[in-house]
Amino acid sequence: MTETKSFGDALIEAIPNLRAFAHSLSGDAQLSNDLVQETLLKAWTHKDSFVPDSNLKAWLFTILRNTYFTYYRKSQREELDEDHAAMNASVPPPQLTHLEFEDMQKALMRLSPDHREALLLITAEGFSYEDAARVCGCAVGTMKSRVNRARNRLLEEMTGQPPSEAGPDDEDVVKSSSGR
Amino acid sequence: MQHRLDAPEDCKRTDGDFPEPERQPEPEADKGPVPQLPGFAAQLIGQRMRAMYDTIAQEPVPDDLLELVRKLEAKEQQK
Repeated sequence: MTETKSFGDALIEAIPNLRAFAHSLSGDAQLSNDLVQETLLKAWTHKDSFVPDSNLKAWLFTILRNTYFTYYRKSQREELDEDHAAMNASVPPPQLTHLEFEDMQKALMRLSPDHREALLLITAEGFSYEDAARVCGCAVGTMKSRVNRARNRLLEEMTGQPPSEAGPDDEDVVKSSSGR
Repeated sequence: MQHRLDAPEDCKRTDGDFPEPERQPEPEADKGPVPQLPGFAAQLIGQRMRAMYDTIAQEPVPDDLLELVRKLEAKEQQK
């Protein structure tokens, strides 16, 4: 079955997730389509360096996040308005009210890019900590720490209060609830 | 970031950020003990995030992205 699927088919299959990741990471609908386009082009150009039967999605996400951070660093240097991204919100979703969707997106954009990326890969995309660490080029422990910090910050944003300190036994609870 | 259908060679200049992610020094803020959230709070955030994420993933894929892949394929088959 999989043998008949071309590389192009596999790329097309991955586009919805690439768009969701790009949009959530950049907070900008238009930019996210440009990022996905760039990712598809790079993936095609370098498709010989993809190891067959390895995780194509993780490989594509790596290209996308590297493309984004290259752009992000450039735009930081040019001192672009950081808030422009959060304001360029997309259409209201069916599952969340418009306000909830916007609030979530704005809260995400107030996280540091590292923390935002970690939370998206683990919580939204459902990557394992190992795969997510590989995508970001960081240690697994760093990934876990970023996800926890990002969650704490988001909860602060949503409740207006810092989360209460949890006991040492809570680690397992958080771990087991982070799976999909 | 424009269409580069006519000049895929152009992409080679981006080798620097591809595909091996650079190892970044760990920022100070990532060190030290992190208070863990109770399970239900992590779940709430997870649900909201996934709802937002899935909403975007379920949007129709823009035609130009699909066309891009198909054109790349067609171009290769011509060789």
